[in-house]
Amino acid sequence: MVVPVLLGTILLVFGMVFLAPGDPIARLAGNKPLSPSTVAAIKARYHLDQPFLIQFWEYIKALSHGDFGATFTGRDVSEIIKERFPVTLKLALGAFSIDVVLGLTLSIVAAVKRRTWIDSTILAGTLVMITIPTLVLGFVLQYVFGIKLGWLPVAGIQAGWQSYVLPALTLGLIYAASLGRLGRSDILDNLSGEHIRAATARGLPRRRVLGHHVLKNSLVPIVTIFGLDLAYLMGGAVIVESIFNLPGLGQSLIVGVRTSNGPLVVGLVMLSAIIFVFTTLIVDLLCARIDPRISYE
Amino acid sequence: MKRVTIWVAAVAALAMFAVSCGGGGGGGTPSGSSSAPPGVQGGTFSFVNAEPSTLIPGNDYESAGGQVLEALFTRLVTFDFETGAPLPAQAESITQSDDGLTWTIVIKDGWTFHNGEPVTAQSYVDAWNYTAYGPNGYILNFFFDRIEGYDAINVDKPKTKELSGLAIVDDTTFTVTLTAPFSQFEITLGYDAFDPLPKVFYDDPDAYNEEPIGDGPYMMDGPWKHDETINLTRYPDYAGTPGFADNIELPIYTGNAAWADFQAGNLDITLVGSDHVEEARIAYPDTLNEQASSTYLYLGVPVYDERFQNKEIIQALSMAVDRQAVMDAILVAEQPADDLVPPAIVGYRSGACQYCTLDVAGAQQKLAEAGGWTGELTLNIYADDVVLEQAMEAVVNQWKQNLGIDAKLKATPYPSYDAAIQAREMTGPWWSGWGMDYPSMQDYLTPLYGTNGGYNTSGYDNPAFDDLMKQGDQAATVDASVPIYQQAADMILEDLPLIPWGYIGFNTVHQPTVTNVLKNGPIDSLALELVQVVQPSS
Repeated sequence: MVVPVLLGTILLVFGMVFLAPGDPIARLAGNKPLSPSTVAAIKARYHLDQPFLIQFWEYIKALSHGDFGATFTGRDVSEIIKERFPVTLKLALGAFSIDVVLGLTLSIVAAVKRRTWIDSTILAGTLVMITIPTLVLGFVLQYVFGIKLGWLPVAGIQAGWQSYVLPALTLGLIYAASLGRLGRSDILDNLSGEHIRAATARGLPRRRVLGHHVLKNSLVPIVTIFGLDLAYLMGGAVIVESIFNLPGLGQSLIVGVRTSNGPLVVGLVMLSAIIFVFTTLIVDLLCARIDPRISYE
Repeated sequence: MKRVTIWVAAVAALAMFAVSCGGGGGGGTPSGSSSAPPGVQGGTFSFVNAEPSTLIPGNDYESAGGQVLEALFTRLVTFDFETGAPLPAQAESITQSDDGLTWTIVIKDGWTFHNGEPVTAQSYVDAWNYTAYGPNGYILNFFFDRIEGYDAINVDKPKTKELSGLAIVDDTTFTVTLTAPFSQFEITLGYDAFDPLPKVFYDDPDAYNEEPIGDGPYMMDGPWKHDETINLTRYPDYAGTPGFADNIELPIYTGNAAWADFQAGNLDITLVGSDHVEEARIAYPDTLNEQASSTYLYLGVPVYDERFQNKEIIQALSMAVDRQAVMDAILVAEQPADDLVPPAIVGYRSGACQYCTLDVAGAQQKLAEAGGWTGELTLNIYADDVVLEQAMEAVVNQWKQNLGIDAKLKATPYPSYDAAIQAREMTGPWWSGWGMDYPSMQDYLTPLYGTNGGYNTSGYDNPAFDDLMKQGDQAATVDASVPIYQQAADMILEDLPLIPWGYIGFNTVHQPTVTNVLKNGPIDSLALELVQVVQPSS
């Protein structure tokens, strides 16, 4: 199932990028007519003189060796990915930890303390948070904590782990808010289940009821959402990377699209697709472990 | 010669290409003494940059790499900051033969590359041959198309790798023979296509790209850290006038983060794009420097469409627009165009364009005389630029109000937009920009309006214009060529195969930690070697 999905994705992206109007080589040369042998040299370098299917086949062949090809300016796409992937990974993991920790905490607290002022506050707070656009939150955090207070770096990755705090917060807070609300209703559903009343009636300690019975049952939808969140994060948070000047995959994708850098765009989207497919695969397997009722052939 | 898209300029917000201003001292004193008072030397400063596409001079056609190469190299010529006229830099002298076909270039003796290798005539000739050789696939190949032998090394399978028009006379002298006289040749030598290269380049160009070696006042301080920074340090054996600072950092930014870093005090000098110009005028009035860049903005006109073949209609359209008002309100980083070239180019005349100032009554009269306009008038722009859309919306409204024309705006995604312009399929005027390759009027005129111009997208075809440009090309000196080019420009300003719009600003702002922050004359880059750090660390 995975392989045809991937192949189909590659073909689609490849097609969109290479069959689109506009000549990237002409763009590189500022639309000045290059000499025929220069154009021939550049075209040969990128197999642009071949028919579409041959180009596609060459691409797949190279891909199976881990070679994503070279961009139109001569750099190895795999090198670009190698350099930028750690940045996106760190950002993704940072945001993800905030998502998990804060999100779970919010859901559990809100569900358990339902209909109290704590619940209402959390509901209101998360609602505000998910309506704030990522762009706005990013700029505000950057301005307040970076420029005005100077507590954290404004941009770039020079300051080590500190550089990732504000960007991770920007993403993590919004994801956590969303998860908090979904998780809360999910847990509430389970809290009102008959098996919970039975367990409480039998005198099981509250904590065991909550931790073992409620949470475990609520986990499947929550883990699914975690998986999707992580998969999206790994694709490269384009807006956040741009605001904080993090040289990650998302930033690279913007530049690649703007400059019609075909090989770069295809390579990055490909990578995104691969990561997405595998992350959701892992999530599915996890869910099967958590809930034995779900079985996979 | 390149057409520039404005958002590229805005996003990168960086210079076109660059020339080092070092050198110009006497014949090769190894440790050239600085003419600046002591105490101003030294220190480190940072200037915003974007990720270059390459740092190989013969293949670099964008401004981020150009800014770096400006500090790494001293070219044959540099340009006067005031007049834009060419001055010898690494060259000792550049003279033209009487028939105008052969140029003799004598370089300064005793100069070395950053790795100690001497800079000789061979360093230039070999480098030029390499870029000019078609099968190497270098973008700047076309810069050599005026030199004899160019065609021969650009056929499918050339039999030779050398331009027949280049000849070495001795270690410091070589000659260049052109296929036709070109008075502006000396000016073209200021572009990085003509940089000399050390022998190590040919062994491994890819390795060279990561840590280029030039002959300029600064050298690479470690390899290019992709997407992070490029750091430079003083070249101690530089034979020309040394730069002031000891170290230069060029951190790499994409997007808005540079402005944020500048506000936080982490960046010493930054460029100010239209999104921050107003803020800068209020917050940093003392250090903001707004100057016109070399990018020329205009509305292309499809002269190949018979509705636009009456010049009075175009003149009317041009006179009905209040450029200053649009720039005051929306395109704040631009200045109205009043000639076909920006102010820093030799030969610029203020107010040369008589149809570029707002004159509603005059416009209405012209339109009436021309027989009026029937039907729709579509102004084309590329999509995804909100600010541009607002500005051009204003232009469309002005045409509606002032001339009663049924004008409308149409946005197209960039690749199809560009393709339609090149294919001469536009149905109405379109937004465009032109970036020069070298600071000469000729580079703004011939490519755009010459019958066989490399970027003639209007379809303008005027043999009289072509003749005048040829005469200018054959003039004996740059000074002699200017009046002739100006005559040719007057033709264009009258026939208007375009509606001149404006000049983008090359605007810089800096912290009080540095001074003497200057643009490289007509070249759109910062004169890095002239920046002084106020409290240099010893």
